[in-house]
Amino acid sequence: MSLTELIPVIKKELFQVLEQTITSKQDVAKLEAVSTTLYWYKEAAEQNMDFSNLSNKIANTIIDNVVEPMVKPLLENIQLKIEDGHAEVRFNTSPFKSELRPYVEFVKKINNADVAKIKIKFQINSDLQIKDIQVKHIEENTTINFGNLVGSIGLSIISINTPLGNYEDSISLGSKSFSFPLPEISF
Amino acid sequence: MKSFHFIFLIILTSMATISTPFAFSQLVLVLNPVQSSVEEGQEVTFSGRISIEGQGLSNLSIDIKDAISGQIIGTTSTDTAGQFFLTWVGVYRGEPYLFYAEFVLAGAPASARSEMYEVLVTQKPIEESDTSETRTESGVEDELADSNSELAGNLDYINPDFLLLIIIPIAAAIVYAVYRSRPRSSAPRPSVEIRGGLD
Repeated sequence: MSLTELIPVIKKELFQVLEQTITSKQDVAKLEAVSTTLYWYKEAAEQNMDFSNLSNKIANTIIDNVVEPMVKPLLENIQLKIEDGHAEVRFNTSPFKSELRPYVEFVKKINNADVAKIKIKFQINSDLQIKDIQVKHIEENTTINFGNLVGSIGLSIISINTPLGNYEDSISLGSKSFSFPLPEISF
Repeated sequence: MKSFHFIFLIILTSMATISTPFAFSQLVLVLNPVQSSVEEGQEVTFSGRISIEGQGLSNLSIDIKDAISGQIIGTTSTDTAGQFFLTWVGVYRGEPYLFYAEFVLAGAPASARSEMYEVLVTQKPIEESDTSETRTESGVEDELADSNSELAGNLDYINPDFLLLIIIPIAAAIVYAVYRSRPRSSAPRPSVEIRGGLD
């Protein structure tokens, strides 16, 4: 049993938070980088691509890159030792803050060659905490309920690089607080 | 005096001739049958005879009347044989006419009527205004043949160089059009790849 199994669950929940953060900021839709990217998708005959779908891709890409560095230190505070039916759990539930700078790059390709790029660099500030961890031992069955992941995520664009120019102005996309339950593990 | 007697005799005879018909049972007015259907604008000729015991009565006024409308469509006089004729131009009205001849003696309480005949006046078909369309097919063919032969005759006098001046640009235009419409290899469709990472 490894605590990394919790990551897909956390990833799924954080993705929802992040996507809502991006789509709720309509200013992002007006960015030239976004409209150019949508045009590229139209050229690529992906007619269904709109801002909502693009936000989905951006959130997915960001989460793929930040979830582990964001969550792993938190999980490392939980030490789980199971030997011969005996379980030993040590945890530190103090909040873990992180500041990460993921980027999302859209590359226009013709004949598999890169012809243009748009790079959007983000800054994501997180403050996460696992609360209400419970360990139950009934007869020979031990169950660990990891409680809830509680915290907040703040997202901002810190730079945009397009073929037409670079923008270094920071654009805050807002922050969201959340709390969602984590699964329990029995052994 | 003899002549006076002769005149008196004639008057007396005439009176006898005319006074005799006062026995109206002997007055016979015959209207000859007419065609039952005519096209509007066509003429219908009414004819008949009025007689007493076979003796035709001259100078009598005969009305030709339509029994449906009650209108007199014409009046004519009998000749010396008692015969009468009247020509009427058919007028379309959507329903048939019912014609008869009638003799009415002024001041007399009785009259003579003929039998009735129904006449339907039909509407005239609308004629084509453009007479050129009424040309026969053979006429059109003749005209085409004439124009072709005329063209052929004119071509005999066209300079071959002039023909080349026309044909070459047309041929070039056709070749260019075919060239433009040829199936061309489609341009490579771009694709978009998304990458991500951490700085």
